[in-house]
Amino acid sequence: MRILIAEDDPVSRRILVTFLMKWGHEVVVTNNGLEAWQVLQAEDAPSLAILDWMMPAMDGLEVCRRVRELPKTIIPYIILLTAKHGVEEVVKGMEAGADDYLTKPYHRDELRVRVQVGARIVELQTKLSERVHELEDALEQVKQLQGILPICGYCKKIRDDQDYWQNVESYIAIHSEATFSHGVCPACYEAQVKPQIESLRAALKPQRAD
Amino acid sequence: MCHSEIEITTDRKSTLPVCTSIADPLCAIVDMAMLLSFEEVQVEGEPDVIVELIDIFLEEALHQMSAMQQAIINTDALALKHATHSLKGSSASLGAYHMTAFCEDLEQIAGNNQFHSAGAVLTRLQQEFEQVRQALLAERQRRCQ
Repeated sequence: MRILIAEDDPVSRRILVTFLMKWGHEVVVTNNGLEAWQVLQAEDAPSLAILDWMMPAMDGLEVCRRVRELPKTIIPYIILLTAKHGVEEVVKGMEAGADDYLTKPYHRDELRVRVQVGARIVELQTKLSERVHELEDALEQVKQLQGILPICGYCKKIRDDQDYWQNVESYIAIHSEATFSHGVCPACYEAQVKPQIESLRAALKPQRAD
Repeated sequence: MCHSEIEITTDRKSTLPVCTSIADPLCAIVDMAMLLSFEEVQVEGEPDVIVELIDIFLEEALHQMSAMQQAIINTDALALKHATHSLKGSSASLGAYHMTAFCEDLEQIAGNNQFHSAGAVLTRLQQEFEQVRQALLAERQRRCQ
C-alpha cells in the first residue's frame, strides 16, 4: 500500500520510513503539513496518511480538516501521530478528521496493526465505491429506457431527443446494452412469409408442368 | 549507577516513566535495548539502520539545541516549543530518556511562557546530550568495526 508520512523530525521520519518499508509498503515522504497537503490533493494521492500533529508550515490537525473537505469519493485514511497524551487532545484530533491516533513514543507493533486496520478500511471503501459506481451505471441505463417514447402509429419509428425518427431496433441499440438476433414470429410468418412462399410455389408450378 | 540527572527526573512531575532501580534501563544514559531493537527492521544489504539513526540524531540534536538557545534569548515561546517537541520525540525513540525529560521540562516552560529557569534546564540538557553523544558514538564505533 502507498502510505504518505508527514514528519518534521528527521529521526522519527527515518524510523517511520524504515518500519513501513520493512512491512512492505511504498512510502511517500513529506517534511511538513504543507507538503503533505499538496500531495493529498492529487488524484493519485496515497490512500493512507500518517501525520505528525506538531509540524511547521501547517500542523497535522489542519491537514486533517482540509482533507475532510476534499471533493473526493475516497478520502485518505489518516493516522495522527503525536507526543500529546491527554484525552482532550485525542478528541481534538479525531474531531479534526483523523481516523486514528497514536501517541509517541509508540510501540512498532501497535503502529503495524493500526496501519493494517487502516489498509482494511481503505480496501473496504474502495470496494464499496466500485460497487456504487456499478449501481449508478446500471441505474443510468434503466433511466435511459424509462418515460414516454413518441412512436409513429404506422411505421413504429421512435422520435429521439434530437427530433430524429429512428426505427425501434436502432433506437434500443443506442439507448441500451441490448443487441438483436433476427427471426420471424409465428404471426408474421403466417401473415408475411407464408403468403410469399405460396406465391413462389404457385409461380414455379406451371414451369414444372412444361 | 544512575547519574545525577535522575534526581531531576524523579522530582519533577513528569508524565514520563522514572528510574526505579540501578538495573532499570531508564537509569542508563541510553537505553541500549531500545536502540538495538531497530536491528529487527534492518534490511539485509542496506546500510546499518542504527548507525544511520545515530548520525541523524546527533546532527539534529545539535540543530535543535541551537534553536532552543536562540528561542530562550528571544523569549520566543513558540520557537522553543517546536524545538523541544522535536527533540523530545527523537530522544525518546532512541532511548535517551533523560534528554526526553529535560525537553519535556523546556516544553512546559515554553507552554507557561516562564523563561526564568529555561537557561539552566537547557544547560542540563546540553550536559546530558554530551553523555548521550559519547554513548551513541561508542555504539556506532562498535558497529562500524
